Amino acid sequence: MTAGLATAPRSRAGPNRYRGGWGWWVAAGIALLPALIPPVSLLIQVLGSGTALAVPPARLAELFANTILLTAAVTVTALAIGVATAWVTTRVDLPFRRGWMTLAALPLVVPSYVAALSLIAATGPSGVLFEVPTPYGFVGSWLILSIFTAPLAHLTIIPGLRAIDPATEEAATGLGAGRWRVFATVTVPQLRPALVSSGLLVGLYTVSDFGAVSLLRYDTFTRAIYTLYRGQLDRRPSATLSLILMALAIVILVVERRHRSRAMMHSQRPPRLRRLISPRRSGLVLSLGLLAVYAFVSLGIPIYVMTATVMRGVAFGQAIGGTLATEAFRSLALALVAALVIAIAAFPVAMVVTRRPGRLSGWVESVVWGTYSLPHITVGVAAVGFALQWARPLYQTLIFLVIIYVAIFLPQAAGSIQDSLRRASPDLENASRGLGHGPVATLLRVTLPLALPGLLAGTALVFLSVMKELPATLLLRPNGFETLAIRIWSSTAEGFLTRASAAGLVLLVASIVPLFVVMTRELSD
Amino acid sequence: MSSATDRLAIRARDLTRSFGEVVALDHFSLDVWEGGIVTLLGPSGCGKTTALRVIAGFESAGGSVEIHGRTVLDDGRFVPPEKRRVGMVFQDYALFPHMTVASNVGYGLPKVDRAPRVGDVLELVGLTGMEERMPNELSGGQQQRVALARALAPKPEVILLDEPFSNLDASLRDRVRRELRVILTEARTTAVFVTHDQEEALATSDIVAVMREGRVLQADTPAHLYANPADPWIAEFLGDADVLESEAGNGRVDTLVGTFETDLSGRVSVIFRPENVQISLGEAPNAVIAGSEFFGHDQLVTVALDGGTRVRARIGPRPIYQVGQLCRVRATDARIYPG
Repeated sequence: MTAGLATAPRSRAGPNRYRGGWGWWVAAGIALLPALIPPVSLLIQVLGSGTALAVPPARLAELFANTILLTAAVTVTALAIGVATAWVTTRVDLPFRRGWMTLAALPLVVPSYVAALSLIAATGPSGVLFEVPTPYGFVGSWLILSIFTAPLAHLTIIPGLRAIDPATEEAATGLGAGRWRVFATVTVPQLRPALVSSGLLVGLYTVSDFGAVSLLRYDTFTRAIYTLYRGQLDRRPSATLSLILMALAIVILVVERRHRSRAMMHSQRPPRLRRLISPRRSGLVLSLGLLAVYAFVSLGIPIYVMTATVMRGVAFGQAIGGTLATEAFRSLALALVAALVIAIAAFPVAMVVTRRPGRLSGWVESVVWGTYSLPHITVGVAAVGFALQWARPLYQTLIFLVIIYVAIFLPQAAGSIQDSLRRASPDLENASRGLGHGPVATLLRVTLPLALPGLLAGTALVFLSVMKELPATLLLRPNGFETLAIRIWSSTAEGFLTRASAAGLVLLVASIVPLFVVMTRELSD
Repeated sequence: MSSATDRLAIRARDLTRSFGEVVALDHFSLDVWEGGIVTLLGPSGCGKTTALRVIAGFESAGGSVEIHGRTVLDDGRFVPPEKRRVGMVFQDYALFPHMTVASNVGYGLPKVDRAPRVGDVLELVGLTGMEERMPNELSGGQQQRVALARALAPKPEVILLDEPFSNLDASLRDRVRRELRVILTEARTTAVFVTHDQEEALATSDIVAVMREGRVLQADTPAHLYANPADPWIAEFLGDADVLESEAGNGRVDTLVGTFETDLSGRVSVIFRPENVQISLGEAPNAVIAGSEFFGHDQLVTVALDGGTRVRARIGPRPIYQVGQLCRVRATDARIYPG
């Protein structure tokens, strides 16, 4: 199947056109409908309720300040950690370098609410690790989010470092610059696009986070939205806040996309391979130490804390929760069904974007990635409003939940499929048609096999994401339908740390296989 | 070429370096006199770029390197590249993409009085007025000149150039090469080029050092080297050459295209350059025209001798021969090697 395939990637403006019917457009359009629900619905909800601001301005200012403060602080520290891990695993000749590179990205699989749970269980009067008062509020949130969003920076900085032509650094050395001058005047400026991208990604993630800030009791927009939603019959305040938060996220997203396209204009051909730095003993110790400490804190401690909590709880006769098996099964089944539905829905979208590039498919991409970037809590609030207004029978059904998952996670699958499709020339499909195979046969015998790696990776990615998802599921699930994510979150909030930890361990174990599929693709050199 | 009063700009002795299993340099030795232009010529993988990088200090090696009498590489000593005052022009120029032309060129200069020197050296390379442009706005030839200006600005003792023309269009290459040679001569800078293009090496250099598998086989002026290659491989690498095997004895060797003097005896290889092979009609034929390539200012005609061996002759644009014509072929000069 792979012998003789043309694999040169084509530019979007180039001859990538696939002459075919409009079937793909129709299918893509249908797949896109869920993505339109959140922004449209919210707009209608808020505008329809009149111009009165449903939230006192003082409170609004306070939420803004809290959110911006946390985002700025987390961005700085997450970037610091991410740059350090990226640098050390890209430039320094370490034993098991690739392994460390993957390990430093692994904390992405730990949901922020599990991380918060670990912090809460590790500290406090009955803490497993330190009997210090639990750092609720800003400190705890900042700590947890910095540690667990650092991998986003790590994964973004690595290709940035790889793209720097080693000859520019050698040229600077040859012109008399010492090591630090080379770093400051030649390396960092060339890294700036990647630094800005990671900063924006971390910022977007922090602004959207719900799990950690709600458990650690820090009042950002997301926490306030949920509190208002739960506490009041009037949904307008939460809808207003959701809209504001959505706008904030969209601003960050637009800046990021504008920045990414400008950075791509200056990209040159990939530089020749560079040789790694052979460190002295002190450098080796420092590098390995950094990586080991980070892995320990981000992976070792949560696992240890949760295990210790469970064991101690069982010893004290506390119940792990008889419902754990059911919740685990539900999470897995829901995630699997959603992943398959989304993979199927994403396929026409990916086809349209890669095979019919142009203004229209550009819009398709924007819509798809737009909704993906919205904070899930706002999507949940919008979806509830939509259901109650126009689709009562669907409210609090699994079908509607899966539809909203499609809205949120379609781009993950689509992006993965697009990668695979882009690698293969569209001439392959033309060749198949020219040899007498109709559109369906071509689809089955040429297109699908080509897209298969991307489909698999995309399905794994979405599976992981759905398993971890919390706020939208919280708002939209049928009564009594608990997933592992919800179990962890609600048990932690109520103080049942043993039950929460048990569920947390099950979630991590269930994430291992899909995670492996995703990571090997992400970090292939 | 050199006299007792000339100084040695670079003296490399017995440089040896391997990368894992691959031997890059195998007792590489080279002398470069001040003000001279030397080219390291050899096929891909012969170690010429590695030799350059060792001289610049980007790689280490066994052996020794002296620059203007100062030891920069030795058993006990390694002077880092930033302290060597050796300018380098990289194959892909390695311009700092985020800095203007002026900042690039001035990078190796101290902050005071930077601007005048930058202006001077930009004028030297013919890029006056381009100070505020960014590298990605320049053409390939302009980028190359900025790279050269940047290397020349700090007035280095020596400048090294790694295949500086390979990324230029063919049409640009000759012109840039000539201009570069003029600039270097005016600046009186010692230069070492690296290339795999033998035409470029022969045209630009005072001395050409032919390298193979990590060592210098022969170093000489282009004319001398071309006329007196030390072995058949060098002869064939430097230009077109055809080989005939024969037996030598009694001070001479007989071949189908002529008889030549030689002190060797026994089996020998006789090597001809096409420009020394002549074709004539009307005498007793000893060959058949097998084909020809027309280049406008000359032709390369291939003839097949009795027995099938092919030899080439370089002649003027006229006459045009037909394939199959019988003719007489003779050679006016040859180099003879044992075996």
